[in-house]
Amino acid sequence: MGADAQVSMTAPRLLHPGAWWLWAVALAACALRTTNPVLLCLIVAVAGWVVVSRRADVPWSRSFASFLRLGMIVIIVRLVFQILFGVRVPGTTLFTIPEVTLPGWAAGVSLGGPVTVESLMAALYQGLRLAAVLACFGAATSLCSPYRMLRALPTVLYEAGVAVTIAFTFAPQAIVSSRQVREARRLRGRSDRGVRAWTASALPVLEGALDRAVALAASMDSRGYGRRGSSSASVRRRSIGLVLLGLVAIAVGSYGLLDPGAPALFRIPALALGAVALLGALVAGGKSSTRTRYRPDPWVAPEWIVSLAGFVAFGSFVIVGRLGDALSPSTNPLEVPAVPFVAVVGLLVGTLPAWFAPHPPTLASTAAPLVVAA
Amino acid sequence: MLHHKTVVGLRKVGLGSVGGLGPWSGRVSHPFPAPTHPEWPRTVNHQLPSIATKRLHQMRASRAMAAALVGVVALAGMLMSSAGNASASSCSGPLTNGEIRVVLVVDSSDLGGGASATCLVVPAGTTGSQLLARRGSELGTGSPRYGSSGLLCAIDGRPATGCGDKSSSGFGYWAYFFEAGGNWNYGNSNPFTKRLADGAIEGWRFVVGGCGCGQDPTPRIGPSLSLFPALSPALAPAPELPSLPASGSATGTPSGASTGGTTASTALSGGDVTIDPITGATSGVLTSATSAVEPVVVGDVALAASSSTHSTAGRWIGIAAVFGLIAVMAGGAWVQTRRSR
Repeated sequence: MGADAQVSMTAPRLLHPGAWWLWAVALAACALRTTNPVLLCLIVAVAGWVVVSRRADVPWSRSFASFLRLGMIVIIVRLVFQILFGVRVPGTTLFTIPEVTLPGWAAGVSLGGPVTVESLMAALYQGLRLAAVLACFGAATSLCSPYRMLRALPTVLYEAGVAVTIAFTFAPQAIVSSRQVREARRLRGRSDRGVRAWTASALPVLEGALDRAVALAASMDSRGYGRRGSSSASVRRRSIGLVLLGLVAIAVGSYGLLDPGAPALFRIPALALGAVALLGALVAGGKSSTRTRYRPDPWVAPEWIVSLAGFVAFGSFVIVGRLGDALSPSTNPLEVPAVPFVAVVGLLVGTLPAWFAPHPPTLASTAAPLVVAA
Repeated sequence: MLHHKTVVGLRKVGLGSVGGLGPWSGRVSHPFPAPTHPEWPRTVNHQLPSIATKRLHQMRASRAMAAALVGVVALAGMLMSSAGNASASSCSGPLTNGEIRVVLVVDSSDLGGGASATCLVVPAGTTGSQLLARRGSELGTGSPRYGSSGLLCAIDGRPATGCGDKSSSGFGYWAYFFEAGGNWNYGNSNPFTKRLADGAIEGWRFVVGGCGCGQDPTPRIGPSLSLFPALSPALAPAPELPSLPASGSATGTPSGASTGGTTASTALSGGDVTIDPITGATSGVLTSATSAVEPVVVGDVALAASSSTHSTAGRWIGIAAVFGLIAVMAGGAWVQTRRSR
C-alpha cells in the first residue's frame, strides 16, 4: 500500500482489490440494513452499473450475472418455502393450500394453510435482501482478481493461508470452471442449456472449483505464503495464539453487534479486543520476518474515492435508519414502501466508482499483468 | 335466524359458518354429546331434549336437502363474512347458528394500559388473530400490528414501536395464552391458524423481560367463566348433563359449537363437527335473557389507535422515480455490454 507518486489517475490499471471489496461490503451492509424493495433494487442496479462500467475482460468478470441468477433462485426458493412451510401470517388470504395439522409438540411449524399477500410480500422482501447481498459480492468478485485480493490481505491472515485462499477464490473458480464445463459439453455436441445440462455439469463444476482452489493454496504454500520464515517457535506460537484470539473476539463482537440482547461486553469491547490482538500479531510477526512485495498495488486517490463512495452510501442508510422506519416498510398491514431521499442520494454516490475508478487494462495493453502470483 | 342446520367441516371452513360438503348423514353416528365438562355453566342443560329430538329429525332428513341447505348456509356465511361485522350479535343476547361466544383478555398493564376482558360473539371457525382484530374494531382501538414475520407486535397501539424486542433482561412481547381447565396455558399455537371453540377464553399479556417460554407471567385477569356475561338469570341448573369441552376436543378438532353457553354440541370423531339446528329453540330461550354489560371491559382499554396517515401518491411518485433511474441504469449497462462485445 502507500501512495505512489508515479501512478497516473487516468491510465488504465487495476484498482486495488481492497477498495473494491470495501465498496462492495459497504453496499452489502446497506442491503442488510433494509427490507425496502425499492432500495434493494437500486442497490442491485448500482452494483450492476459499476460492474458493467469497470470490469476487466477476464474469466471471472462475468460472475455478476451468475450471482444475479443465484439471487433469483434465492427469491423463488424463499417464496416457495413461505407458501409451503412459512409461518402463517394474518392478512388478506390469496389462496389456501391443504393444511396438515401437526401434533402439539410440533407447535410453531406449519405445513400448508392459508397464504396471505402479506406473508408473500414479507418473503419477497427478505429474498430480495439476500439477492441484493449476493449481487454485491458478485460485483466484488467480478471487479477484482481473487489472486490480487489474496496478495493484499494483511500479513496476519497468512496464518490462515489455505482456508483464506479457498474462501476467496472458490466462487470465481466455480464461475471459470462452469464456463469450461459448458464449453466442453458444447464441443461434444450436447446441450449446455436447461435443467438436465445443469444437473449433469453441477458435480464437475464444484469438483473442479474446489480442486483449483486447493491446488492454488498448495502452490502458494509451497512458495512460502503463510510461512513465518526464520522466526522462533515461541514467537510463532504467540502470534498464532494472538491471531486465533483476535479472530474469535471479532466473530463474537460481530454477533454481539447484530444481537441487541447481547451483553455489552460482547459488543464493541470484543471487537476492540479482536482488533488489538490482530494488531499485536501483526507487530509480533512483522518483527521476526521480512516480506517483500513484487509490484505492490498502490492506494491512491481512486482507491479512496471508491471506498469512500461505499461508506457514504452506508452512512446514508445509517442516517435514514435513525430518522424513521423507511428502511423496513411494514408488510402487515401492507403499505406502499416509502422512498427515503437521503438513502437514494447515498446510493447514487455509490455509483461514483463507475466514473472515478480507472479503466481496467485491456488484454491488448501491457500496463499490468492480470494475474499476479503472490 | 338464517339457517337451520349446518354440517361444518372445520378444516375446510374459512370465515364464518361456510360449510364444506362433509359426509354428513353417514357421520352422525354419535347421537349423544360428549362427556360433561365440569366447569361448564349449568344453564346448558335444559336444552338437551330439544337437541336430541332435533338431531333425530336431522338424521331423517334427506341428503339432498342437507346439501342444499349447506349450500345456502355457505352462501349466507360468505355474505356474512364479506359484510364484516354485520352479524354482531350481543354477547348476552341470542346467537344465530354458527356463532360462538369467546372472551378475550388483554393485559397491557406493563405498558401503562390496563387489563381488560372482552366478550365477543364471532362466527364459528374464527381464528385467534381474527378475534383480536374484531376486538380492536368493536372497541375502536385499532387493529393489531404485526411484524413482517407474522409476530404480533402491538395490541391497541401498545407498544408504539418495536416488535418482540430483546433486551438484556429478556424479550418484551405479547404472550399468548388460552384457558384450559380453569388455568391459563401458555399458547404454543399460531393465532392465525388456531380456530376458536365456543366458550374459549384467550389471553394476551405483554411480558417484559420474558423468556419466551411457558414460565412467562400470565394475564392478570384469570380465565374464569364468570367473564362471560350471564345469559339468562331464569335458567335453572340441572345435573348430569353433557356439554362440550371448553377448548379443543379429544379429536384435536376445535369444536365449533353453537350458541354460547346455552347449548351443547358433539365433536364427531371423524373431524367434522355438527352444529345442531337449535337456532329456533335457542333464540326462543334467549330473547328473555337480559344482560347489561356489552362488551365487558375490566380496566381501561387504551383508545390510542396507531394513526398512520401517509400520502400514498407521493410514495408512488418516489417509487416511479427510482425505478425510472434503475431502468436508465439497466439500459445504459445493456448498451455498454453490447458495445464491448
